[in-house]
Amino acid sequence: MTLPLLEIRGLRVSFSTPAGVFRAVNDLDLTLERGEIFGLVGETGCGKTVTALALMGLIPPTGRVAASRLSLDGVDLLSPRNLSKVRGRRMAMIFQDPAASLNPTFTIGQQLSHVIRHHLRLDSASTRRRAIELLNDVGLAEPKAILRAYPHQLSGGMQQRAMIALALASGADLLIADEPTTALDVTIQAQILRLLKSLRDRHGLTILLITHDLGVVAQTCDRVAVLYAGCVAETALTAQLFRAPKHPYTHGLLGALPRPGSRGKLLSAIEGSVPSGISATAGCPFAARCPSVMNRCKTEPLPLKSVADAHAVACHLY
Amino acid sequence: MTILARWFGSRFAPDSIPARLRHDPLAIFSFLVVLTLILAAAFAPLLTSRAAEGLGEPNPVEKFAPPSAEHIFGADHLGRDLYARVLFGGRTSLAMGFLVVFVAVLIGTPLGAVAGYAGGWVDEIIMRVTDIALAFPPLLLAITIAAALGPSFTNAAIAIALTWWPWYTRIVRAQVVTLRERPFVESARIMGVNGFTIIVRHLLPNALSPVIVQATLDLGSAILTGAALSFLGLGVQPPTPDWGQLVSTGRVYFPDRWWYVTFPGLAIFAATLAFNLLGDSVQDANT
Amino acid sequence: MPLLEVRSLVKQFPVSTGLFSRRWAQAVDHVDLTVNAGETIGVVGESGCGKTTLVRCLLRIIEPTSGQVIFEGDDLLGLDQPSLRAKRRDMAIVYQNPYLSLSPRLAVRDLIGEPLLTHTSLRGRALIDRVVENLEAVGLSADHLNKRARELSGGQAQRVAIARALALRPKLIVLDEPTSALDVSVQAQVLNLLVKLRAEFGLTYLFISHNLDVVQHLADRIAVMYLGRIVEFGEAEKLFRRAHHPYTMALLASTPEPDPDIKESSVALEGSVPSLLAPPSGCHFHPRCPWAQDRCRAESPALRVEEGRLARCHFLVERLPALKN
Repeated sequence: MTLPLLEIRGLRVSFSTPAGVFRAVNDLDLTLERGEIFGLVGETGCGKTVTALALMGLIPPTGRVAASRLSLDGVDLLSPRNLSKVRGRRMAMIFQDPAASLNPTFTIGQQLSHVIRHHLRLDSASTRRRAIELLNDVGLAEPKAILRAYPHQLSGGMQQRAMIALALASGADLLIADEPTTALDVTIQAQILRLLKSLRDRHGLTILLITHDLGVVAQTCDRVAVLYAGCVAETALTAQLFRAPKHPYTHGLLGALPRPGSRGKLLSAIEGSVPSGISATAGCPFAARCPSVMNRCKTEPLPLKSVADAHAVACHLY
Repeated sequence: MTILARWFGSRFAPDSIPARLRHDPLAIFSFLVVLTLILAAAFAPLLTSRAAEGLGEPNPVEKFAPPSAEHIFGADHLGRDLYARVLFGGRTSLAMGFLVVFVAVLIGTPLGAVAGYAGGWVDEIIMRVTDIALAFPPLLLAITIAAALGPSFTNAAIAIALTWWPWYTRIVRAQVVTLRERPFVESARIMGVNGFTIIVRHLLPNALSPVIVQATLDLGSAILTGAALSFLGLGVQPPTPDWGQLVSTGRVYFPDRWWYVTFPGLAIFAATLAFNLLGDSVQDANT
Repeated sequence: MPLLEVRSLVKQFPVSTGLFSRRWAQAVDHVDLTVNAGETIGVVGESGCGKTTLVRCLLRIIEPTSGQVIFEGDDLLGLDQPSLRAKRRDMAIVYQNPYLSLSPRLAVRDLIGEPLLTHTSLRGRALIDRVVENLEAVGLSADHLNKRARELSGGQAQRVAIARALALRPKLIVLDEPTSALDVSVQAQVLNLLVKLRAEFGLTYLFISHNLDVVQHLADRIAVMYLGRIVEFGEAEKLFRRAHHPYTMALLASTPEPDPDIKESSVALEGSVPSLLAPPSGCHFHPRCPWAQDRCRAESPALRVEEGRLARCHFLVERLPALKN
C-alpha cells in the first residue's frame, strides 16, 4: 500500500472568544489518496473551512491547532519550517470569492509570472510560455489577452479559472478548493466543476473540495466526509453515501433537499439548529437534533466505526 | 483571514461598544481621568475651603504665594487660591466642551439624516449650506460674534458650535446614504412606513455610532477651542474663571510665577488628552 | 381577473461608459406576467437576468421606464404616493438575508409590530397579541418578542421576516431568494413553513430564485429569465419534465443533482452571460445556444405558445419532435 497523499489524525482547532472556548474542529481524521476528489461537506460552522485553513497554516493567532499527525506526502506539516516549504508549492488553495483573492492592481500575467518565477526559477521567456500553458490548461481561451487583463476585466468564472491557474503554477499536488463555485451561476459552476474533474484526470491532481452543496458532491467527488460540529459524522465513497446513508444527520440532509418530485410533499427538515460549539458535549454532538437519539448518545463518546469497505460512521446505532 | 474573521465575527461579536471597552486598559484609564475631571468640577465647592476665591473674590494678602501645603497650586495676582480657580475653571471649560458638542450634534445630525434620506435638491441645499459653514474659521467667527454681541460664555459656545455642526451633518449623511439602500430600509418603505419614522426608527439608530466616536474625540478639541477663545478674552469674563482665561492672565507672570500658567495648562492638557484617548478607544471598539 | 398583471414592463439603467458617454442597460425587457390569486409563480435565472429588477419595479421600489403593473385592477405606476401607500398593505416582500432585511436595532416585537402600527389602529396589548399570533404562525413563540435579529439563528430570523411580511395578511408576498442564505436543513424548515402558510392563509407567492430545485418545490408556474427577457413560461411540472427553450434545458442540466446515479447531462453551456450593455443581436441566447442558426442572430424571436407553454425560440416547432425522445 502506498503512502496516502494527505493524512490528518486527531486534528483539533479551538479559538478563545469572550464567550468561552470555541471548538471549531474536534478530533478530525481524514486521509486523501493521490488523484482523488474528496468532498468535505457540512453546514455553516461545521469546521470545514477551519480544517482547510489549519492545513494551510492560516489559523490566526487567537486559534490553537493541535493534531497527532498532519502530513502531506510524508512531510510533517506540524513543523512550521516544513509547512512554509510545502505551502503554495505542493499544496495550494482557492476560495469562494476569486475577485477578493486576486490582486486587483496587477495583471493576470504579472501575478502568474511572479508565482512561476518564485517557485520554478525560470527565465522570462519560459515563464511566459509556462503561463500561457497554464491558462490553456484551465480552459481560458485567448490566453495572451488574458495575460494582459486585470482581474476586474474578467467574469467571475474566468477569475476562478485564473485562480486555479495560479494555484497550479507552482506544480501543486493538492488543491484545496473552499466553496469554489458558491459565488458562481449554475451554468458557470458546471463549467468549473468539469474543469476540476479534468485536471484530476489529466494531471492526477488531488482535490479537497469543501462545499455545502450535496449536489456538487454527488456530481464531482469520489469520496466524501460529512462534517457536523467539527467532527466527521460519516465518510464513504460518494455512491455509497448517497445510496445508503447511515448517519441520521446524513439522512436528514438528504431528505431536506428539495428535488424534482418533492413538490407538494413536506421536506424532512432537521429540527433545531447547529450547536454553537462553545459548550463541549460528552456524547454525540448531533444528539440534541437526532430523531433516533438514545440515552447513551448523550454521554458516551463515539469513534468512527467501519460499517462497510471505505464506509465509516460515528453513530451508536451501528 | 477576512473569511475567518467575518465568519467568526458574526458569531461572537460582543454586543456593545462598552462591553469591548472594558477590555481596553487605555480606555479605562482615560475614562477615569475624564470622570475625575468632571466630578472635580461638579463637586468643586466640596473639594476646597476657598470656594469664594475660586469664584473670584480677591485675597490680596496671599498675592503670588508659591505652591505650598496651604496653596497646593499656589496663588494668583489677586491672591486667590489657584487650586480653587482651576476647580471652578473646570466647570466653565468642561461645560463649554459639552455644550458645543451637544449643540453641534443636535443641529448636525437631523440635517445630515434628512439630506441623506431625501437626496435630490434637499440634499444639495443642505450640503451647500454645510460647506459654507465649514468655510468659516471658528476663531474668526467667534471674534465677529463677540464684537457684535459682546464677549460671553454663551456667545463663545454659539460661535464654536456654529462652525462645528457641519462635521456631524457630513458623517450622518454619509451613513444614511449607505443605510438607505439596505434591505431593511427598503422593506419599511414597501410597507408604507413614512419617511420620518424611517429616519427615526431605522436610520438614525444605526448611524449614531460614528457620531458618538466623533463626539468623544471632539470634546477634547472643543475644550481646547473654548480655552483658546477665553485666552483671547472672547469667552467667559473675569472674575468667573476658565482654564484658557487663567492661562491667558498667568502668561504675563511667566516664568517668575510659573505656577500661574502651569496648573491651568496641565488641566487643559489632561482633559484634551483624556478625551482624545477615549475617542480613539471608542473608535477602535466600533470597528 | 388576475391578482397581478405585468404588461410590457421595461426598466433601463443609465451606465456611464466614459467621462461623457453613457449607455442604457435594459435590465427588464418587455416582460409580461400574470399572477392569479392563490397561485405561486416562480421566476428563475442567473445573475443579471433581471429577476430582482423585475420585482423591484413591480413593487415600485424603483420606477420602471415603461409598461404597466396592474394589481387588483389598479395600475400601480399611475398611483400617487398616498394611494400607493394604502395599496402596499396588500403586498409584502421577504428578502434573502434576514440579518440585512431586519432593522438591526429593533426587537422582534417592533419588527413585526411595525406593519400593524402603520396600517391598523391596533395599539398596546392588542398589538402585542397580534404580534404573538404571527410569531406562532411561523413556529416561534412569545419568548422571542424581545430578541433582536442578531440574537436569533438564521432560520429563526428568516421566520421573523416572514411573520413581518405576513402580519397584514397581504394578498401578494414576493419571496426574493428567501432560502439562499440558509443551510440545507434550515432551508427545508423554511420551505415547509412557506407551504404551510400558503395553505393556511391562501397566499399568493411570487418566488424569485436562482435555484431551480427550490423553485420547482414551491411554484405552480415558472418563468425563466435570460438577459432581461422571459424565455420560457409554463407549468412547473411540465417545464421540469421537458424544457422547451434551450436555455431552460441548460439550466436544468447544470443544476447538480444530489444523486450520483444521475449523470451530468451533455447539454453543458460554454461561455458566460453577456453584458446587458451589449446584448447579443437577435435572440439574446444565440452565442451560447447549440442550435443557433443565422436567423437567431438576425431576428429576435417572440414568445409563442406551444403545448400550453410560452417559449421564445425560432426553432421551437422544429425542435419539439426531437425533444420528445
